[in-house]
Amino acid sequence: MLEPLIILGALGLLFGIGLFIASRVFFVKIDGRVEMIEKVLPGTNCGACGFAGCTGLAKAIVHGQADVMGCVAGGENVADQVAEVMGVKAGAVEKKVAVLRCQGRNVKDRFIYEGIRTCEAAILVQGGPKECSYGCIRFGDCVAACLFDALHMVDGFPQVDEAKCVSCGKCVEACPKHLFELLPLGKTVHVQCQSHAMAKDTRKACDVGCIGCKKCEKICPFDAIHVENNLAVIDFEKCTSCGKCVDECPMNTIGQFRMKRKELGLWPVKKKQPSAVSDQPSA
Amino acid sequence: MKHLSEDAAIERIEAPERVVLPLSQHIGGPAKAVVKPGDYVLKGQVVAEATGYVSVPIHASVSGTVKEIFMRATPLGRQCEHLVIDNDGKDAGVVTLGRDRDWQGMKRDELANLIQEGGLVGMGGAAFPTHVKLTPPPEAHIDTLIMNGVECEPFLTIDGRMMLEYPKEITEGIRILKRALGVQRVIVGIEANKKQAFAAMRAAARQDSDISVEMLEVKYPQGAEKQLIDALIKRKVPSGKLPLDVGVVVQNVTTAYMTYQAVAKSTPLIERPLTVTGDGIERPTNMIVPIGISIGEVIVRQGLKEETRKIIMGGPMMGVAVFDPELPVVKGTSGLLALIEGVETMSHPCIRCGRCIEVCPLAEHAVSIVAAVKEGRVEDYDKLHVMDCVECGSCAFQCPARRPLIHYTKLAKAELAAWRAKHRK
Repeated sequence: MLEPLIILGALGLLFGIGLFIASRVFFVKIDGRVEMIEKVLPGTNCGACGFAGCTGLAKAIVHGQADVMGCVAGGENVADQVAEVMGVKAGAVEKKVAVLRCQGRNVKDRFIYEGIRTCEAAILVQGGPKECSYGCIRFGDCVAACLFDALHMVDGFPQVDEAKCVSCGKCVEACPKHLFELLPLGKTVHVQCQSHAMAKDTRKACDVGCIGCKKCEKICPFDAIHVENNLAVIDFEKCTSCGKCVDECPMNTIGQFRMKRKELGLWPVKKKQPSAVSDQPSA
Repeated sequence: MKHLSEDAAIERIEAPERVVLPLSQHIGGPAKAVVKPGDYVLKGQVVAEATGYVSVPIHASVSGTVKEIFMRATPLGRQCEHLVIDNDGKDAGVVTLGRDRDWQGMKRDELANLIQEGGLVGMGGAAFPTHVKLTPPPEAHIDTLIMNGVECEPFLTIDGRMMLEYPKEITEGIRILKRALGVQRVIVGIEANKKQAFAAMRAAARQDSDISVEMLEVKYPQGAEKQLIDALIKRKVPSGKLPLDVGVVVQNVTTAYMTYQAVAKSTPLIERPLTVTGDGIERPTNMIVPIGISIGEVIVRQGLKEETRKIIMGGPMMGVAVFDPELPVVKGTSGLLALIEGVETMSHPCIRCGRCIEVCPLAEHAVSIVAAVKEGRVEDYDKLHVMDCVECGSCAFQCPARRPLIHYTKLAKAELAAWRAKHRK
């Protein structure tokens, strides 16, 4: 009766000592800050920072390989918390948002597409079924890619929920037509078209596509918008989002996002004092 | 399916009022235009020159004025320049057009040059520049030239008709290809459903002891390079390798005819033999048409039935469905099909029958490829031999659930290429 107890007890003691020695011999020194930073990071592992998930970034920050503002998705709030852990001050983060550069809801199909219903697969079939070869295919690869519930199909067309968008760039990567761009929240005027087609072809395919008429170019008081290769392109260095081109555009291609952002409480963008730019912790 | 057009003699079609020549009709670098709108061009004149080694020039298929050059997507989705020539109806050719040329004394590279200058590409459908295959790297020991007269795609009959009606020209073309490649042995493979063509080719090649004409079992895809090599000389091309790695070069029989035209007759590739068929066509036939004629013009000439649901460029298994009748016939267009029946597209979930694996000539697991694509396991694609797939379509044809298996494989190939490009840098 006593025998098994003794044997098991002895074994337990033996393993215990073994584990104790192993934990000493193979001790890995962990910087507590990695865990603390990991806690404040969003934890979605979106990869927008360029490191392998949130843990990767946390390690990189502690080791001085990444900036305290490295988390793209987290924005200012997270940057502040990370900076607190690291004992430095975060600089101002310019909040960006994904802008869809197409609004061709009414673009018709050129042919009956019967293949796999993803954008990525559809472009393999003669560039996709849409009449406009530059525009949205509307199978929602971007919606599927969004990790933050910030993209939805609204009446069969993707729409960015700017309140939720953290500008991680997943949609930019997912869209085979490269229709998304990450742009500063403060810039509220955008050309919502990516078509380089000739005016007559654009017009045939789409009722809201840029026809390259250059009216915007002429009206712009800041020389901030130019037609290049049949498409109006805004120079955001110069653009003040005044909206003169929006009113002038005959195709309603250029959009003013200000009212919408105001309603969401995103505009005007609160500017943090770009006080002491983060002192990098030494590695 | 071949019965629709196999007895129809090859017709020639009157030149259209306008031809549209895409500058990318072959695999490799697109040609570069050397004429501009307003220029007058003669039939057979170079209008776009090759832009490198894996590239061929493009010749005017009619005489007339260059109207415009514009950008458009080809049926394979590649954006390229298209050159429009308005036919003046004079049919004025360049001086050398059709002139006899003595090629017997020519060296290998001279012949390869003539073949490149003639704008020759594989006429089986893939349109790979012919001269590239004829100039293998020195470390490859090529001992056999295989002529592909299999034409295993259902519906298509043009290669069979060409062998039946032009066996002498094809055989002469084979002699040229043989000399250009510098091999001693040529085997012509013909499927058993083309007995007349087989007899004609045998008769034409009677004096040539080193050209043998063989009959092959009728099965799909017998005409795929790797399957053909295995069937004729029992050599297996390993995964990721080319026929030249086992000492073989494969050329299509119609390519041999065009080689004869380009080398012995100084006529570049400006015409294309093709089959116009399908249950949507009133008068299925075989014809030789000028390259650049619109497919609509060809099809309407043979009578298009109203019930037609789909038009396919190429064969029914590997061809591409097209939606725009304005698209031109290009160097790789081996057939035009108008189909009413058999266009079922509703796709259902996999029933795990395994037929896709059974019918695959490479024993690939289409079902596993689809699963990997759906789960985004790009790193597994290599293990599934995605890149080896020749897209013969047997799996998709057999699939009782009508799943778009080839589309998934194509998607996997595209994803893998992108993934490799990303991970290389």
